[in-house]
Amino acid sequence: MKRLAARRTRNLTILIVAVFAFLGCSALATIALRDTARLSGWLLLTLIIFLAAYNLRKKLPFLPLGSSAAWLQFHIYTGFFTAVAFGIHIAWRIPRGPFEIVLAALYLTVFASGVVGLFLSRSLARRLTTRGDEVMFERIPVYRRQLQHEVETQVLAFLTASDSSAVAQFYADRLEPFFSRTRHFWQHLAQSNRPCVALLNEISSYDRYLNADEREAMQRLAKQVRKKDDLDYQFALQATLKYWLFGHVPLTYALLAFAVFHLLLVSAFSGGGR
Amino acid sequence: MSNEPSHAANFDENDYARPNQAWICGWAAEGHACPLGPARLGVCRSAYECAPYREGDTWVCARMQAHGGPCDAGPLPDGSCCRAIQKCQPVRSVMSRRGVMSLCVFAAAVGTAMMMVATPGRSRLISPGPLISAHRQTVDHCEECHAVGNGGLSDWVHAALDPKAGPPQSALCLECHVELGANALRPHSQSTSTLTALAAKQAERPPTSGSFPLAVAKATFGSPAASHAELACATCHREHHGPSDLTELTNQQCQVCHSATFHSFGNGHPALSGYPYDRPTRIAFDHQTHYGIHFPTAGTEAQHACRDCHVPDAADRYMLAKPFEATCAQCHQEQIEDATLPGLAIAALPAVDVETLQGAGVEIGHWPTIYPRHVEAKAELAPLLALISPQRDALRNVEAKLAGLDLSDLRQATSAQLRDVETFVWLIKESLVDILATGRPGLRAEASQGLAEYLDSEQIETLVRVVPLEGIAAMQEQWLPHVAEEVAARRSGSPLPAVENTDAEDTAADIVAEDAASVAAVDVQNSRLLPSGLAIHSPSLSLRYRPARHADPLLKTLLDLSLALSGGARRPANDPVAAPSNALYEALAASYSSGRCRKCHTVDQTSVSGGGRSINWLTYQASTTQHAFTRFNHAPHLAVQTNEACSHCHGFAPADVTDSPILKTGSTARAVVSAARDFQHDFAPMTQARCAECHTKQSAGDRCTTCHNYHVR
Repeated sequence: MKRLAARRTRNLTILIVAVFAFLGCSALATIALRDTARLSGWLLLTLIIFLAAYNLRKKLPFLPLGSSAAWLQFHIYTGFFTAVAFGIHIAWRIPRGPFEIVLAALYLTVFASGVVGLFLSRSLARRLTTRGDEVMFERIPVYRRQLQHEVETQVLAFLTASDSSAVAQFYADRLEPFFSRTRHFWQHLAQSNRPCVALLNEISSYDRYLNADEREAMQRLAKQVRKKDDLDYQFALQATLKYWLFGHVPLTYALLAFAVFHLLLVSAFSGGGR
Repeated sequence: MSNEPSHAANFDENDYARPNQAWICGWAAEGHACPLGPARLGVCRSAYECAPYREGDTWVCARMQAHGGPCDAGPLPDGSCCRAIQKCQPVRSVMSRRGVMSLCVFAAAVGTAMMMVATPGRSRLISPGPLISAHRQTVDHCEECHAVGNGGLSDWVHAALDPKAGPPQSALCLECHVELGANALRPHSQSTSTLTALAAKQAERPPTSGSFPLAVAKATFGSPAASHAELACATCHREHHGPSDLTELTNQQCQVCHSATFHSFGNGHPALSGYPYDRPTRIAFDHQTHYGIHFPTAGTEAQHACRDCHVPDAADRYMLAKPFEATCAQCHQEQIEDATLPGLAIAALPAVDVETLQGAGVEIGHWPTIYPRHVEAKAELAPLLALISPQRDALRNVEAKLAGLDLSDLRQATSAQLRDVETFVWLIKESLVDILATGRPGLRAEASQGLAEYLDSEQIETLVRVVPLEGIAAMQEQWLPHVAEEVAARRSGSPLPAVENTDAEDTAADIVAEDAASVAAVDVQNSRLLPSGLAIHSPSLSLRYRPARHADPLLKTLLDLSLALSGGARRPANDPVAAPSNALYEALAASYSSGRCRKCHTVDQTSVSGGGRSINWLTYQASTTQHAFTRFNHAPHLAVQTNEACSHCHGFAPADVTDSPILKTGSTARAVVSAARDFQHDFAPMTQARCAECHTKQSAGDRCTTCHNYHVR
């Protein structure tokens, strides 16, 4: 924790110093009647390309380009820095042209999705360690299927061994939908146990009507329900951690395309700034 | 909460997951993914559940535990697996789906950009924002201001990669803003020489210090106008920001080009040197005498007193002087009409001692006589007549020979002088004959040849137009009725026709007065009035002109022409037009000259090379095109007037200044000053402290652009 705090303090300090240095340089350039929009624009485009390169870096793990963790730190703090560069670039005004509005909205969306992603990666990753064990996201459907198979095997075995159909009936009515697919996505994101607890309570409520064997079978089912709920929890959080990038990454490429088009327009229409 | 592992870490019991591959086996979700996995393009590669291996003579099943372990049937005799895997429909991995989505969004963005380029209404789409209102009213399409506005994508790419290939953006701005002149892009739209002079003047000021950020900015980025280089319009003007002020600049931005800097208007700004009286007024007016003596009661309400003569312009920006007719005419109209003065001599015949000349045998033909002889007559022709005479050079030579000789009493003259007088008289006669014979076409030809060095074609035409030939003809008819025959006879060598000399007028003997009033008294009865204000004045053998009203066109024209002829300064004596042009100007500008124009109308040095001069015929006129370094708007100041009103800012100058004779009403010194710069203002210059009372950042504002224009013209 000490290392993390020290790293965070160091990076924040560098960010704050860089922001103030940039604001100072921008103010001085404005006083000197330099084209701060052009300077900040070039800086912003360079930074966005650099930020987008993080995704490429992850696809090229064999190249000695530094650790992914270091890239992530740089990505995060540089991303915050771009917000200041963006503000300077648009002179802290709301853009008025249709294309400029779309471009600004794209940037803000990408920035906001990055902040949301940062929040998710910080909060959900910690929550993932609180329930169950580490499961590979791609294997979750396999495990869910295995779990369902185990439960159905148990239920069928009990049905064969005894004359009672209560357990099988209960599974067919109440547990089959639960085991057949991922459930309670939003409740897990909201850290809510209510659906699982309700299901377990429902299982318990049957106790007084069951004989000893049936109760034991139902207890085994309750155990499997908890395992399935843990699996759903893992899925919900891991899926969120993966799917927020479906907004962040594609919009980044759209932003890059629009930014290059913006650069083309500005360069062509400014007559070389002469 | 369960801590039991939800999966086993036994590789033999698990499928080989390939999350980084683009495609995943379609059976993965069912818990029994194909060990081979899909091909790279998402094609199922399903074959058999295992690849049996051989132990001795037996084939052994190698199926993974995850898929049930070795099967009961075992491999076929040929060693192949007996359980073929059913083909699946591979699905994309999460990463692959994200990649596809990224590609689609990127393609959509590029497509959107291309559509924007191609759409007819692209001007509106790609515009970075609305224009300022002035531009919005005149500009509809990009191409009106941008060279590539009408081009396609390839043109834009070319322009972006080679920005110097097209015209500079500033040049396109100047296609409309021609009012900024040839030096529009130089600092303050001034020439390099002017800027150098201004910089030198600024360097003379005591060193000042500006703000720290300004000093750092200058040290870091330097001045954008170093060496007076041209600046792009976009240096200061940022368009497409909507209805904002295109000229908005901070004080620090204004100062970044200046060597002398300061903190604010109230802290370090250079003192106002003579403002707003850094140039003489166009009308010489003694405010103190008028305000204190002629209209003493006006002082009780200062604001009303000022507004008796001054009125705000339509925009309340400038305080202008009311017209002459509404102000000065009440007291000065009679002076303008010249009722007590003889008027301006347009042409005149010198009084010549005909009797002595005849006695000496000098033949001058007919010449009017005048009595008494003690009225001195110089050998000088009336200036205007001398200027337009075809014999101008010959007249100048003989006038020089006869300088100092009284032509009305030649009894002491030598025979050589008498011969020169004869020449002088005949030159006058020939001038009259030639001028009247050729008329205005002749005048035009003569002036174009002889005065082209001094006057432009327009001025020559004006001169030809205003010469009162009809009056000269009437004068000739009255006093020299046979001059044409005489000149013709002399030129042909024939005897002169016999004509008796007669007195000009019987009453001529009464002219003994030397003061103007007495001259005027006999003027009316001894003059023959002609149309257009002309009169043949018998006692002085002259054709005279009196202005009928203020702003008399003939006097104005003659004053302008004489000033143009006399150049920036008095011409040297050997100059062909020196004597007549100087004499004409002095006759028109003298204290008691006709119309007394120069009593009030001052003279300005003009920017004409060589130092021209011009008469300020008009009071200050509010101009929407004029942009001086400093501007002032009366409107907001009038809005906060107190009882002190105008005098709060416009206080009279100290006594040692206002006692100057130039300022005093009735002073003759005023008319003889050569240029208006000699005129001193009778108001004390405004002080910076007075302005700074209100012009602070928190109150009325202290921006440079509040009082200063950047583009000076």
